[in-house]
Amino acid sequence: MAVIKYTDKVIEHFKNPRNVGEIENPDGVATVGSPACGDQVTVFLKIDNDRIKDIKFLSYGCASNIATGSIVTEMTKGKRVEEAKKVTWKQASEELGGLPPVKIHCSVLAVDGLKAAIKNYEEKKLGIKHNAIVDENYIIERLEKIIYPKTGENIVAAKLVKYLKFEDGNLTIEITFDETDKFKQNVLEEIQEYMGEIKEIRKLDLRVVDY
Amino acid sequence: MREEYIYLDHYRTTPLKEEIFEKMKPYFNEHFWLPASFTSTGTEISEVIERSKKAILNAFGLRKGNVIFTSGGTLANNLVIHGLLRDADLQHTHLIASKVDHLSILKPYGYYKKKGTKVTLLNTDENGYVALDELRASLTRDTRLVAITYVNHTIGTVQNVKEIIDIVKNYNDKIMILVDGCEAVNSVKIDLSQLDIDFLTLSGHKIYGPKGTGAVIARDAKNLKPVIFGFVETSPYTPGAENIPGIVGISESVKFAVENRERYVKHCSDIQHYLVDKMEKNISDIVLNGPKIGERAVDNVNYSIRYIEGESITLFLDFEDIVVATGSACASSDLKVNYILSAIGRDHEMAHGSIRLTLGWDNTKKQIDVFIDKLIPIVERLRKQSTISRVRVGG
Repeated sequence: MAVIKYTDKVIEHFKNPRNVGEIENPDGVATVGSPACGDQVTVFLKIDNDRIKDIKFLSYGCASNIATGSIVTEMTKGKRVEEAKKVTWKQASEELGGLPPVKIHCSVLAVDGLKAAIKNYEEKKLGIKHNAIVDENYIIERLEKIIYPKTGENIVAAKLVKYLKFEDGNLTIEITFDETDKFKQNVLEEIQEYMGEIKEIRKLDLRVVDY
Repeated sequence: MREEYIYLDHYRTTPLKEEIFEKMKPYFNEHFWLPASFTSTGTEISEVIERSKKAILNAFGLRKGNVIFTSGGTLANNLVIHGLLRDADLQHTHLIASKVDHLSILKPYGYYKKKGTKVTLLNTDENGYVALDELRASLTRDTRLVAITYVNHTIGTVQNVKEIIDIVKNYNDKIMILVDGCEAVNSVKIDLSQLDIDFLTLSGHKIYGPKGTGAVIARDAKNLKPVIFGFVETSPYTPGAENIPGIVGISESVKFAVENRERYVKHCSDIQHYLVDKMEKNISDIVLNGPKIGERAVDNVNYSIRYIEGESITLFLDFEDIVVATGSACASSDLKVNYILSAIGRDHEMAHGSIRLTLGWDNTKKQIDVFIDKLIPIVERLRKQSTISRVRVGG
C-alpha cells in the first residue's frame, strides 16, 4: 500500500472547518449525496446583489469531505455567483495542497453541493429553468463526475467507459476493469446512483466487459 | 504519535512481547544457521524447530500432529484450501464457509467458484452466528471442506465451533474442518483433543508474537498436497529457508497466550465491561454491533455511532494519540463498507459511523476514562456539523 496521508492544510481545515452551520432563510440550498451510500453535504447560500454574501455547509462525511467543504466556502465567500460557479474540485484540491486519489471522490461531493445550491438559487430566485436535454453528451458529462479512486481521474478520462448508447430511454454502458481492480464495485455503484438520478433513463444496462 | 498513546486496535496487531523477542534474538545472528542433519549447527536448529512444533501441539492438547510454519494466518488458510483442492475434481467439489469469515478464506473460495467449484457462504444472524439450519441443509456428497473463523475479527462473535463440527462430522466424517483461530487464541480455550478440527490456523502477531509468522496445525497432513515447490529443508509445504527466529517467536507466543489465557480473560473482561458501561452512559444514539457483552469475545467492542462518519472519528482520536479502527467505507482502501457489518444486516449508514475497539494486555481503566473524555467532544462536534443529526437528534 502506498503511503496515503492528508496534507497539513487538509488536516487544518478538517480540525477547524470554516463556515460550518446553517443559514436561516437561505437564497439557495442543496443537499447532495445520501447517507444510504456514503457521504452527504448540505450547502446554504445568502446572495446579495449577485454576490455570495454568506455561505455555510454541513457534512456527514470524512476528513476529505469536511476539508473540501471548508475550503470551497472560503474560496467562494464574497465572490460573484458566476465566479463561484466556475470553481472545480481540482481547484479546491489544489488549494488544499492535493488530495490522495482515493479521497477525491469524497471531495467532489462538496463542490457538487455548491453547484447544486447555486442552481437552487437561480431556479428559486431568478426563475431560471435548468432543463438540459438528456442525450449521450449529457450522460457522458454526468459520468465525468464519477471519480476513479485508483487514479483520481474521472471514469471517462480513465478510459474505463468503452461504449455508451442512449436510445428510447434505454441506456447501455460498457465498462472494463482489471481482474484485480478493487474499486470495481464502488465504480459500478456510483454509476447506478448517478444514472438513477436522471429520470429520462428508463432502463440501464450496465455491462462489465473484457478488453 | 507520542510515546504514551492509548492503543485500542489489538485485533489489527499486537506488540511483540519483550520476553518473546529475547528468546528469538539468538537465532538472528549468533545461531543464524539453518536445519540440517548430522552437523552440530544444523541439528541444533532442527531441534529448535521440533521443540517449537511440540510446544504448539501441546498448547492445544495434542501429543502428535503436524505443524506447518507460514508467514501468517493468510498463507496458513491458503495452504489448507489450495492444498486440499490441488488434485480435486473441482466441478464435483463443494466448499462451505460463512459470509463473515476472514478474507483469507473467502477470497480463495471465490477463486475456486470461478473455476466451477460449488461454494456455499452461509448467512448469519444479526449477531454474526452462523445459521446452523442452513449448514445442515447445505451439506452434500461433494462437500469437501467447511471453514469457520472462530472469533470474528470485526464484531467478536465466538462461533459455536463444537456444534458446527458435530453437524458436519455426523453427516460425513471425511469432510475436513478448517478453523481460523487467529483472533481466538488469546481468549478462547481450544482443546484439539476434544474438538475434531482437522486444520487450525494461527497468526503470531495477533498474540504478542512477531509479524510475518503463522502456522497450520494439521491433525493429519496426509490429505494436504503441497502447492509451493522448491528445495525442501524440513516441510514439503513450505520449501525454502525457514524463518527460525519467527518459528521460535510464534511458538513462544502460543505458549504465553495459552498459559496466561485465564488472566487475559479476566483483565480484558473487566475493561470491556467498564468501557461499554461508560460508552452507554456518555454517548447517545450508539448501537453495539455483534453479540452482547458476556457472550462475545472479551477483547472486542464494536459500536456504530449514529449520524457521523468513522474516518472523522478515527482521525480526531488519532490527534489525541488514541488508536482505534473503523468500518467506514471512507476509511477503507477500496471504499467498500465493512462486509461483516453488511452481512449482519447493518446498513451503509450504521457501518459509516462504526468504530472497533479491541483490547489487550496494555489497556487500563484509566485509559478508558481518557478515551471517553476525548470521545465525547469529538462526537458532539461532528454531530453538530452533520447533515443528518439535526433532523434526528432534535438539535
